[in-house]
Amino acid sequence: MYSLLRRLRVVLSIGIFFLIFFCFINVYHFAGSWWTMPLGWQLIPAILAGSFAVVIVLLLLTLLFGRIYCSTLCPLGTYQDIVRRVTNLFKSKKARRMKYHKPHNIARYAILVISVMATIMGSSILLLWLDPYSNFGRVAANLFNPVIIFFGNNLSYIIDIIPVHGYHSFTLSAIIAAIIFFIIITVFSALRGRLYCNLICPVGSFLGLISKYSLFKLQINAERCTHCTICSKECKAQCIDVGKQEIDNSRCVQCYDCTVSCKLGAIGYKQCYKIKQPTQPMNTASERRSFLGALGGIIAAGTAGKLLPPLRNVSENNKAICPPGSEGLERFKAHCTSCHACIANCPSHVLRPAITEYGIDGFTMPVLDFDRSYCNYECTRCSEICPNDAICTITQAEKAVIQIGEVKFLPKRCIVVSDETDCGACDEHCPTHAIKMIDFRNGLKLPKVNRELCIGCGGCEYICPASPKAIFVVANTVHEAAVLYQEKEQKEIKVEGFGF
Amino acid sequence: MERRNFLKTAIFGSLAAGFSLKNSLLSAQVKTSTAGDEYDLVAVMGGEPDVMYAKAIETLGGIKKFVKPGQKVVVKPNIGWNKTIELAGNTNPILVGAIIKDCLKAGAKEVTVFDHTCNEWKDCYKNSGIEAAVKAAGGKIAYAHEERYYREVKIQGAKRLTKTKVHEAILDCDVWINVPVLKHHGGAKITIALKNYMGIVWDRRFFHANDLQQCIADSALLSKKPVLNIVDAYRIVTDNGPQNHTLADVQTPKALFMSADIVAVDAAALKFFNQFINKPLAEVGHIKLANEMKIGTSDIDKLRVKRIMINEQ
Repeated sequence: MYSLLRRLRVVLSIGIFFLIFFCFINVYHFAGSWWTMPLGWQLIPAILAGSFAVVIVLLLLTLLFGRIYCSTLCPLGTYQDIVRRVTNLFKSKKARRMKYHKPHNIARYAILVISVMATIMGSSILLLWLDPYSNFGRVAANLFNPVIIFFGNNLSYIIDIIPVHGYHSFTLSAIIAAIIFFIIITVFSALRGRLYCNLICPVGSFLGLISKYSLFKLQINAERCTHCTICSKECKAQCIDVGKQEIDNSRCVQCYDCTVSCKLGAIGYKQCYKIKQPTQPMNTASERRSFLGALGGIIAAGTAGKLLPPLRNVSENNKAICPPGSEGLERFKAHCTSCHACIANCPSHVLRPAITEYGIDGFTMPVLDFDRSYCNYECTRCSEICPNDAICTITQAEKAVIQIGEVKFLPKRCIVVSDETDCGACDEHCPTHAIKMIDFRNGLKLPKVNRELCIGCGGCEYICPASPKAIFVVANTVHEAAVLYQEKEQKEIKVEGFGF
Repeated sequence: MERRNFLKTAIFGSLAAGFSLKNSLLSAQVKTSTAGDEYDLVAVMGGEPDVMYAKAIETLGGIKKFVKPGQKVVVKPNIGWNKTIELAGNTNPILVGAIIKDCLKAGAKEVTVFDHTCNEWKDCYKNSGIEAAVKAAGGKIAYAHEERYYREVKIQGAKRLTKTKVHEAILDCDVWINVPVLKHHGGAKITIALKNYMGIVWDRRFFHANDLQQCIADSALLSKKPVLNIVDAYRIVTDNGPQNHTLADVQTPKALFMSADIVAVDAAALKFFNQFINKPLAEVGHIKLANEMKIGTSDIDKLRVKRIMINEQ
């Protein structure tokens, strides 16, 4: 039965892993549907988005069987398992063996507590850097996405139905950040299995805390166990203490490798609510220790909280333009964990990881860059894919009246004024009639802006041929309502001839 | 006396009538033998896009005059905007489909359709209805959204646009047909056949930064010129172009203009447009400049124009 469970876990985790991976390497921008669903099952995004149903299901699952989430739903968990599997091929039999390690309770609960405190205070900065899903997303979007594009583009020379994909959606600083994390997680998992999950990952620590009280736990049957340590050598979470015949359920990721490895069938689920723990003294000690750790964490979070507000200060940078649906900078920064699902799926590539636009705590969060492109009037893709609801789902009609920034026009820089030639590129690209060409001189027409109609899509700024730009969008710190263009009545004009 | 006179005139009259009838019959025969050679420009009104196209191309001698068997053909409509067919932001897909079918019937090896779109290319191709029309007609859609699909060419005799990157489909084809839609344009004043050249080049921003009107005229000096220019005026945008957002700016006069002379067809379509909104030729720099540069003539009064009115019902 356990080998079946294990096989099910492997199949599910790989399936979910590839679905999520595909969301980030979707270079030809297939519109999302069922295959983007696993993004919504991720714990941190679900909490930030307020998807209570998902959170409750995940918590119930953990309360029943422990950290199934970590081995099945978490793409970073699966990635670590893949790394371990692959590196094991190159290791000697001896080097493959894992061995029991004591938990790093103080460190992991402190990290958890600080992350929770920071989130409560409205900064997602710690979750941004620690959340496994978001980190996985950044690695996939910034490292694997370019590779896929590179191969796709070369393939397009041979097979002409494959379109070329531009490279313009990459930001070096985000790539470097992703490389650093990628190296850390790869080395961690190659050498120590699920160390990241049991030391740094706030999701792992949180679910670990809960799984201490799981109804069913994997336990060693002391009567059958011969202390052969085979299970412990297989345990990627390094949580099986064969000497004490104990499995630390707060660190166990329910991979079932041990159950399968045990030739004596000594490991299996046990209903734990009625059983008095025989090793209570030790447990209370570790509990006390983690409680102290948590307390220390709260104190640390308190001090960090005092340090955080200046970081959280909404940047005065007028290029801090966040996507429509995010409602404003502060809300956006409180919800976004920078998984880059929106960036990887933005058809116009106007979204890119921020460098300094949002301030230090907004590093790598998606920002609209009108030097690269502009936000398509009809498109709401980022709002649909965002699992955090940092970009709330909006319809096209809603987007048409959301002003993410406001247009500014400096006539002195305009080609029409400086060169005295026709231009009108901005008017051409404006999707809302916020720009109107009015009579200037010598038959020339000069743009005139109506800021009420402007939604800040950046079409005008992107296309403006003047350098520096004569027309540009300045961020609205809180998104405002734009006025919808009033439709005139259609008057049919009948003509009898050609006019010549 | 009176009766005699009457008889005389009657006899002469009938003779004259007979002669003139014979003459007209003779000239009609001459017409068919050198079909299409006596008209420089055709204007059609009152029919569906494909019907008007059929009438116009017949008048000019049929598509076989322009497309030879085995040739690679490019049909270049305006697909610049993510707009529905009713908003007339792009060339009518029925017209595009009819041209492709005609070219293939004439023995064209392949017919490729593309445009360097302004809005997101997939949306434009799809929502304009052109992608579906091309596929239904047996043509090919080409990608044009990345610089790699463009090659740099020099433009002889150009004043500002001495070189530019042009789409490979145009450079590699045997003949191409320019199929713009007639629209008001905030920047270029009007967009017809000459302005449609901006959809075959990569860097449009250069045009805007270096005298838009001159650059448009310069682009038409490209050595490979369209063999035909077919202006779609089935639906036209009379104001707030090229990207109008409401039907209030759209009229449906059901017209079509066709000529091998790009300047003439623009001038004719502009005169037609003037019946809706005042936009004199003197105001539209690129047509004026193209005329001065002898790319064609905007003096359509000197041309042999065939006007066809289709009466539906």
